[in-house]
Amino acid sequence: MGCHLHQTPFKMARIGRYLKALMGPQALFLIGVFIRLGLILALTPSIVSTWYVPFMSHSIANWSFDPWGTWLAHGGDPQAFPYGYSMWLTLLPGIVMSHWMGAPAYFGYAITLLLTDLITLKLLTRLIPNRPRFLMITYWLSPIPILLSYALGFNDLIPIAWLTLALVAIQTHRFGLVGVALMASIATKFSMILAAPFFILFFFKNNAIRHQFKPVVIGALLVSPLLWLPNLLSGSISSMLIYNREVQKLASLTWSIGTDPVALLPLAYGLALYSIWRTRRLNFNLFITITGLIFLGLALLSPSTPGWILWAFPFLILIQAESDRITIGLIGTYAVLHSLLAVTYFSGWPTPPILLLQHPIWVFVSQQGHLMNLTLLLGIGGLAWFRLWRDRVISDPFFRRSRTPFLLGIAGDSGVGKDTLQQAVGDILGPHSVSTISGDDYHSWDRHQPMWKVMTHLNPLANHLDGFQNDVLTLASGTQIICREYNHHTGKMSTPHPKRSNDFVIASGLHVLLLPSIRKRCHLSIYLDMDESLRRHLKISRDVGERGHSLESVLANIEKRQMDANRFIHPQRDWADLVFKLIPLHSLIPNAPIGPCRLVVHSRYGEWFQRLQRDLIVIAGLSVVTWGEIQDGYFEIQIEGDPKPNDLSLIASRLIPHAENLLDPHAKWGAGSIGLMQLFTAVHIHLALHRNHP
Amino acid sequence: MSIPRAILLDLDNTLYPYQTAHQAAHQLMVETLCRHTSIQPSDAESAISHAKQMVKSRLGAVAASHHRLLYIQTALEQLGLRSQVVLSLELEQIYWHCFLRSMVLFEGAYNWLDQCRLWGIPVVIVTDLTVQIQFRKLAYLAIDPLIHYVVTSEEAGCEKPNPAPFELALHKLQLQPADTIMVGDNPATDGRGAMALGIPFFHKLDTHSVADQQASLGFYDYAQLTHWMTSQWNPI
Repeated sequence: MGCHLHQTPFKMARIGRYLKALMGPQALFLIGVFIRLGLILALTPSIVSTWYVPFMSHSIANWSFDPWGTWLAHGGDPQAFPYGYSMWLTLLPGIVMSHWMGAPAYFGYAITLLLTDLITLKLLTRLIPNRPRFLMITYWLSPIPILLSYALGFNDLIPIAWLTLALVAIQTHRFGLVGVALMASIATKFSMILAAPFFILFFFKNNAIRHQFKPVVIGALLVSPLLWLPNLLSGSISSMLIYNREVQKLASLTWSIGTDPVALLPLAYGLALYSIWRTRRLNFNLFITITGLIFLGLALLSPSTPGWILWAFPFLILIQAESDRITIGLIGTYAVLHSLLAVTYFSGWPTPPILLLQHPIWVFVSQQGHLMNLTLLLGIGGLAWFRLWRDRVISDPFFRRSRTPFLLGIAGDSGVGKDTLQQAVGDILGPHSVSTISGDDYHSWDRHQPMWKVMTHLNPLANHLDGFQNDVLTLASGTQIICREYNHHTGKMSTPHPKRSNDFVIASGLHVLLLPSIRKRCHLSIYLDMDESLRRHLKISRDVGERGHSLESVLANIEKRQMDANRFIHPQRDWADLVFKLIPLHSLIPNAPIGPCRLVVHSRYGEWFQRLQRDLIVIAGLSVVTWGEIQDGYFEIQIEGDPKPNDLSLIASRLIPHAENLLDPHAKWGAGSIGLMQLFTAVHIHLALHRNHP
Repeated sequence: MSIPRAILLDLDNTLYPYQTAHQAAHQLMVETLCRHTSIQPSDAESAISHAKQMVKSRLGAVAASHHRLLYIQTALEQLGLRSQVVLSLELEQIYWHCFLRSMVLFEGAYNWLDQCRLWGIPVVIVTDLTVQIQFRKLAYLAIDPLIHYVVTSEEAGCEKPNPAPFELALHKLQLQPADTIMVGDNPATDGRGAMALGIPFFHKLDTHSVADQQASLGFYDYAQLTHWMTSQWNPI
């Protein structure tokens, strides 16, 4: 290679490096910092110079534990500082520092906002990791926080930082901190109480973390005395809080019935809360989207309060992180318009810079002014709102399934492990989200009744299948049932007791798929098959060892049942979406461990088996004997080996997008074949949720 | 330099950040060892570190000198526990499970490999360490369909910068050194080994490193490399 070859690439590399540096996150961050510092140095927003700074300066000059009382006593404007001690204490250090350094008091106020801004950015980095460039563009360089905070002087960034911390705390499962951050947000700006019901509903509509609401309350209660007691002791704060302009603006949008006005904003807010209440199950994504949409809706319906868009802002960024470019563009356009118009109306500038052009169209737009701009703002904002509602809420499988539970049917012969699988599936979905119903509870007679001498349990006539069908369908419609349970030890039915429905209803039994009404209603149907020698081995172990039957009676029972199994049980295999069959690899010895087995899986949705095969080999180190399409639209995969729970959990997280929304945060994965069945079931539930199913 | 007919490519720290994955896996392995036993973390760390040095000095520059199972076995023996077969296997599995889980391709690396496929330039992985784990890494990162051949030090019998792995790669490709380029992060192994045979070295840099003076190109990310290859060679 010649010298030229050495030099040219290095030169190119340097140019590329400079280009990368210019558009890189660090450069974008610095640009954002310079814009903010420029605005801080160039502007002093009127609300800050008229209200906040005089109030804060007055409270420094006249030290008192009740600066609001002192302010009012000296004839101060009651609208000057309608916030509590939390906001006052947050702003105080910066203002004191400015006074001490001889700088304008506004600098202290603005530097506090800048620090809060940086904290919010850092928190958003925790929520959206590994996408620094995206965050720089959508948050740090967005005109919303820049113009609303540094050109107009709104202090909403401070409660928003607390609110974002609450979101980080939810995601990192630090639930005590959720309560602390939420309470701090409300204490800093009382209007943030509008966010509290969404957080409460999120916990109550999410079975997996509902029990964690207690630490949230404890966290909130622990900081409440600190945050609220000083406010309660100062009567002046209350009188200033009622002058809060934002509370008054809640009634700004009205609709008249005759001569009586009806405030539309509280009405819309109430309806939104009710619609969330009616949602059966909320996951983090839905919570973020719906809360963001409601805040965006409030901002759209009350353009006279531009600071409100900041409340929706962290939510909108999280939504944008998972949206397409059109949605990101719409929200970005709305952000620019909103900020420009806010600056126009609140800064005292006559028109936005773009409207200062002398072109006739701009003159026309300027003359039409408010009406045109508001129409444009509502149009773009409304479009973004509608698109998000359609793509992120209506299309969300959890939202679509929110009205009725997911019904999982498990059928199979006696002794193949239906109850074990039912339990194992409950372990990964979380017991709090699952209701189970067993066909065993609908046998017609107790164990010792004479009819069992002439009829097997496998015969549909020996079961109350109509009752079973009604109860499964009732649970699947989300309604509670009253049922009995069969006690395998005593052989008797219990007294009737209520059983509530849940997000997932698992119906297992000998005849689950024999009944067309249940079969059609199932979102996922599983048939458990087993090598006959293994089934006999396990059935003897269970019925003799666990349920206390004699060996002779169990053997006689197995023989007697064979014909009915062929007639009533085995045909159900063809109706299942997913079939598991266990085959022992070695001969079975009575009373000895079973040894390694091969799991054969047939699936109607086996297109993804190729991806699964890779992960089973690469991560779990399993032997995938064969896979491919077989007859009747089934795909087959045969697996040997002993996967570990951790490996299966990792594979599930790779195969199921946002697995955390489906699976319990503390999912208990089994090892070996049962763990593999859990994995297959979890993936099939995910597939079923994303299929159009009646 | 004309357009290469094949690219030799290092794996660890060239296609993904090695240290991040290794540190997470190492920490979990030490935590597990300390949870199962009464061994203190500092003792475990020091035993593993000492075991690594012992294995490396005993075996020299061969693939087995990187074998985590050997480090763990030796560390447990150093701690006076003799050869704990099951515990050693468990710790090794935990290490690699966590390592794989923590691996993330460098930004743009997949697109660059895919672009090489579209340009019709075969890519050969030339890497130290054992074939089993390197294959698992390639499959986990889902880049195996974009790779034509893999040469490991286990297969070649010695490690880079020894010419054997490079020669084996050239042999598999049936190409001459000048027909290829070597892309790697380590000038001492990838660079020296390749350039000794006359293979141009493209240095993958991290944020704070500076390109090796003898390298034909230093690049910070794969988008930059793709852009450079497109502008310099205009491959079809």
